[in-house]
Amino acid sequence: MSPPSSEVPYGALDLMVLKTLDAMGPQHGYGIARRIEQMAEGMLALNQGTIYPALLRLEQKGWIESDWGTSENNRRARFYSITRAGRKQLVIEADLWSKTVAMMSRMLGESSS
Amino acid sequence: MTLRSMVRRVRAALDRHSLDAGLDAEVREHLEMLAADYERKGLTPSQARLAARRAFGGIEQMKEAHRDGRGLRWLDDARRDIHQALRSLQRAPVFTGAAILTLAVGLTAVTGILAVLNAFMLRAMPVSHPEQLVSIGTAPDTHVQIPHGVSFLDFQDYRADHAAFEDLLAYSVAIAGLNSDNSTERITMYAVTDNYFSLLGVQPAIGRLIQPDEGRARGDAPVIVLTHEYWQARFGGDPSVIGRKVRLTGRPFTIIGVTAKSFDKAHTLIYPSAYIPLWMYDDVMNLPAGESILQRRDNHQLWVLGRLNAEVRLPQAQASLQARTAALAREYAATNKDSALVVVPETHARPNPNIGPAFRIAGIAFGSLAVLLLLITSANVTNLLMARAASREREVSLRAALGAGRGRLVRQLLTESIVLALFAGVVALPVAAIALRNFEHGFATSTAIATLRPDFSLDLRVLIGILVLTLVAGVVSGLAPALTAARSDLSRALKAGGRGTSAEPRALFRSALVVGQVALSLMLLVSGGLFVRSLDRVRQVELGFDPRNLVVASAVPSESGYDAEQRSTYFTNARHRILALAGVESAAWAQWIPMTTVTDGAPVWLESRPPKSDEAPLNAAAAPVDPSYFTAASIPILEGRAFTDRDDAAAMPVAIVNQTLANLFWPNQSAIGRPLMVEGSRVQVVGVVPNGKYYFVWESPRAMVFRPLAQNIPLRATLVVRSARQPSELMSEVQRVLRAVDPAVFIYDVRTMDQHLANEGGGFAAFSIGAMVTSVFGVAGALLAAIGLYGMIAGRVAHRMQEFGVRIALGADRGAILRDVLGRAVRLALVGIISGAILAALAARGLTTLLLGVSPFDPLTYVVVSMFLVGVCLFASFIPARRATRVDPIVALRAE
Repeated sequence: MSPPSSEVPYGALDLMVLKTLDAMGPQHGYGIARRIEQMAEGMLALNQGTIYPALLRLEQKGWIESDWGTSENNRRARFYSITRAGRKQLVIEADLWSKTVAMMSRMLGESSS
Repeated sequence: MTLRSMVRRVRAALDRHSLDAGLDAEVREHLEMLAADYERKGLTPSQARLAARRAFGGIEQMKEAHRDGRGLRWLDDARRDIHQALRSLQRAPVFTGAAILTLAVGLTAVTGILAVLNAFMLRAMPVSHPEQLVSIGTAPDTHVQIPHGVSFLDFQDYRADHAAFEDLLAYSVAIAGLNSDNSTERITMYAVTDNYFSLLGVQPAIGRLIQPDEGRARGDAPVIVLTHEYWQARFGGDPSVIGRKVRLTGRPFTIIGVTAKSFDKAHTLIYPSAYIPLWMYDDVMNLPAGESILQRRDNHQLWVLGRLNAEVRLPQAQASLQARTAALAREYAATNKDSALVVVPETHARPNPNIGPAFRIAGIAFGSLAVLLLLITSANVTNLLMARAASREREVSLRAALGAGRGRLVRQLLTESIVLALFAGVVALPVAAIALRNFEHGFATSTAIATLRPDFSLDLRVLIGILVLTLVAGVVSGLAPALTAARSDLSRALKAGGRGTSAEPRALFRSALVVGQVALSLMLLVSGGLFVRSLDRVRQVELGFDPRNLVVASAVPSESGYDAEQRSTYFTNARHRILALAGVESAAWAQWIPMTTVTDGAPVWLESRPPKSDEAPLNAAAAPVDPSYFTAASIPILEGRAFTDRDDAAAMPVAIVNQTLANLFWPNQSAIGRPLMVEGSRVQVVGVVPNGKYYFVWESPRAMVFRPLAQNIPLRATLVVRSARQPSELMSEVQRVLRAVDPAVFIYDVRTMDQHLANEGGGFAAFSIGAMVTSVFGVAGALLAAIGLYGMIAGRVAHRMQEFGVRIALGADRGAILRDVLGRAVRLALVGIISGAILAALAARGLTTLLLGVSPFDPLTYVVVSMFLVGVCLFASFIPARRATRVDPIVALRAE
């Protein structure tokens, strides 16, 4: 049986996408989704379709940009890449995220002790 | 939202299809790659496709979220709402047609009025910085009673000392025959000061315009500038006209330029074909030296515009000019003693300061009435929508149950009424355009003395105004039904079966709506009634002559360059030839006839009591007339005698005065044989005639002096022909004979005296237009209110059919049911009429200055229109009421 998987926390998907693009360079939607699933190691119930609205959001904010290119099996595909503003945002959000995680674990640690 | 993302979103909403296609391709590719991966892991192709679908999640949901995210949600919704509104309206063609036509009535009225207001009050002059332009006129004095222009000498004094203004310009309307290539055409021109074009900032299309310091001296530099339109029409746009010699009233002029095309639209009513220097005016108009407009301080003939200096506000300019006026009044008391200036923005003095203020008041009053009519039509559509909402309750409830938010529902229903209004606007525009063309034509043909051409075109400004009003009308008529529908109780509506709830609040609202409509239509009817009464009064005014069986025709021999002797010969020959026509009883020339556009006056005084140096003499209306004028016009001679053929140039100068003048100078004595000074020369009074109306039908008694035509040959004159013959036939004969006497003389306005009085601004024209417009509004309003009442009563009757059926089955009196239904209708109508009467009385004050001889509170009008409205309401509710009494109890009960 697969381990219990959880829904993607609000806002986390955007951060995951940014991080993926930062780490791997330009990717198409499927590539991004596959990478996120690999990293989650089965702990995430990701409807892969949901990354498209996320990609749209990020693009509207100017953090990523997209262009049509050719996929590995020589088909037209849309490739997304992170922008300079996206990298800055990634730093800010990653920082915020780790602070949140630290705060949450302190809180949870306190209440369970 | 940044600007860039905003742009992207708007584009996204508009460019939905290509973006959808892009996303589709992306999703397809994604699924294929995913499936390929599954296949690699050992699944069969069909299993792999299924697994890929599962891993991807809901495709449609994702697409919906994507669409919401990328576009402007409301724009997308609006598209869908419009689509749905169109479909739903299509399904109810009768309702849709009725609502569109109803709203179109109101929108046609406001469109028409707005186009007229635009021409007379709103449209900016096509010149540089039109907002800096102000009009300067002389305030009404006791003699003339309406504001008028400025004399040339006064103008020069104002212009010499004008700290508040960049400069002042002046112009006057001149009319002359323009001869080129051996053909003469009578044209209307502006005689303008040298700075006219430079101050307005007008550019030439070709050549050059009249320049500052050009033609300052009389007879110097006879130049003419053509308007673009006339250049096209007469010279085919030939650029070689520059430098060409033409003749105006026989004098040589050189064409020096053509004004820019845009400037053709600068004039409100009088439409010039050319411009000449003001200093040429006397020559072109053939004025005798003594009447030069350049030398008489009492000739207030110039229209003056000033351009305010930047930073200067209107009140400062007024103050500085008034100071100058006071100084002039001290210096030239004989002419300027009581004069005051009227300084207003140029848009307030169209077409000139004389009639501008009256046009303004009328325009605002009619505009308000049109808005009332639009309100009534909107209320009617509200009513229709309410009735429709009742039958659509289930549809709306269902949609609400399926999760449509209340805001979305309201927006969707509002979209429907706005779409209705837009369609109504589309219907209204061409109708209004046709009506406006007719109105323009009416103005243009009211007199041929000058070229009149109002421009009531539906330009961008009007169209934007109409669009806004249309949207407002759509929202106003749809808001209440939309809110009510969206608020309706879901479960109750669904449970109540097909009948809907028709809760009492809605019935109450619809009753209030009908009451409001009746009230507003009463206001319209009252104003219509007051205008009709006013027209009736003005038609009954004692004119001082008998207008029946008269044909008139005007001639301007001076424009053909004729001197006094030639004019005299022309007048005499023409009169003899007309008298020879069968059935003509008498014929006489008069310099001008009552209520005509161009009149004349003369200072008069007693030789024994000449005006002191600081005193203005009495300015009497004055006209030279033929001896037979009094017979032809049926003016009785009260005392003394009429003129005879012996009162000619060689004889002693004589005059006939009216009672007002006689009583002023010789109270309780006979005026006959007395000497009188008229324009400085001594005449002997030989007769007295009753008072009459001379300049306007609505003027108070005014002094008038008639002199023999033979002793004062006028530049132009109007022939008055009395005959019992069919006027239309006689008119064409008169026209033919006058042409034949001398083809070179321009003949115009050949018509009956009744037509003359109906057309002239000084006659009944304004009253007829007012009565027509307001009664059309009033009747339309009353009909719409009646339809509203009918709809409401019919709806209630339909709703209560079963109740009536039961009552009849139980033996109820059919008369009682009739009374029941009618009673409610009459109560509503009465509440509406009473509140309407109160509102009308409050608002009617605004009409005071437009009404003649009728109080805005005229009880007869209020009573008659109230009774009319009661009758209309009774009729409208009688039809459904009768249906209620005819209900067959069996049928009504079986329907349950």
